[in-house]
Amino acid sequence: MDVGGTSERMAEYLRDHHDKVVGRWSELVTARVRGRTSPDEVRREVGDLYSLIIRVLSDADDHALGELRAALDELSRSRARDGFTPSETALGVFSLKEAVYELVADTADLVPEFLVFSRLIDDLGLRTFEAYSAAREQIISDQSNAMLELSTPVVRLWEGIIAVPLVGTLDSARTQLVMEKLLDTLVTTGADHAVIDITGVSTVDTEVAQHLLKTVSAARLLGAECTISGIRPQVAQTIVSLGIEFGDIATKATLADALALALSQAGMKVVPQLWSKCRSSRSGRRCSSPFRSTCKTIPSCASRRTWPTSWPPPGPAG
Amino acid sequence: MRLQEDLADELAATGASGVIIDITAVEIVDSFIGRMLTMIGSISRLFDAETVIVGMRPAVAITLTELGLSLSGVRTALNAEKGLEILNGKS
Repeated sequence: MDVGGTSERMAEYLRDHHDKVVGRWSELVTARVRGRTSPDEVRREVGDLYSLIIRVLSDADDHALGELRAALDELSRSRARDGFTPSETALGVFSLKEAVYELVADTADLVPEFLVFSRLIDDLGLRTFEAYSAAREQIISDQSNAMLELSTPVVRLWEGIIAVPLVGTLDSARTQLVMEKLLDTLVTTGADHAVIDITGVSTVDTEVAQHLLKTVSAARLLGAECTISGIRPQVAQTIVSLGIEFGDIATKATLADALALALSQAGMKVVPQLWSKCRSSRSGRRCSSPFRSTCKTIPSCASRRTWPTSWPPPGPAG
Repeated sequence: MRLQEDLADELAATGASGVIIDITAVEIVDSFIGRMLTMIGSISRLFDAETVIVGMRPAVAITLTELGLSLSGVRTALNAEKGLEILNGKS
């Protein structure tokens, strides 16, 4: 950048007119930000940048350029967070040229120096653009990662039964994540039944079905039986019209049905639990539970044959 | 290959009704291993013995699925205990 000490002369010039240029530059920037940043704040930022630019131009040390870039990146990032457009940030940098030009305009002998300076400022302005888009991309990728994490819980429904409620769309990346989490949970909990609930999956096409089948067969390799639940009427129609075959994989309409199936395969049965408080047989009253006819807890309970008179049942006799 | 021969010899000699293959220590699989496991399953079925593959790691299961090998003809279980349960439940 340096031809015959032009940049040193420019640095010298800028140093001499420090207060004037910084003042004018701050004014220009303040006019552009329109009250979103306080003038003092702007003046401080501008002053920092200005002294860094002087250091770069005077070639005082090699670190100056790196420092200047880092400061500019930081500035663009904070501006991006505050909702400034990248053009506003870049124009803020470019207005330094304007501020200096107003001063140099009278002195014709500084033209080569000003050109060198101008090129540096152009580079810096473009850099703010890059930093801005990098910051935005970072935000986007953070958010999609967070969504991926949020959207794949594996929950334990029962001893030995786990469920994966899927919400949203199923693509390869998510299927991979779901599969890994499901298999890890199968290993850590030792579960032998998994329910994949697709109530929240908006559309099921051949690709999604393929992903589901893959997940199921991977779970089977770990010795777990899989059920797919939450198939809505439209989804069922789509699956049939696309000719997708789920083969021997059990499918159920609701998660409750799938849980019932899993429980029955595990040899368990859910019965109403009322009889721990049953005092009818002891108190001599008639049993009033609507589940009386299925009561197996107290086989000798004589009131099993009678019908309820009221519900809830009368309190235990003292 | 050695495993297949030894297994066939042993099955013929003892008349065992179940085979458990523990692959907990297997961290990397390829299509050859997948095919070999299926073949062991077929061989033991000829001796009227059921094969249970136990202790498969999640990464291995994903790899086998991606390779399109679902190990048809062999049963799978999470660990040796559950594998034994399967064999006992059957016999």
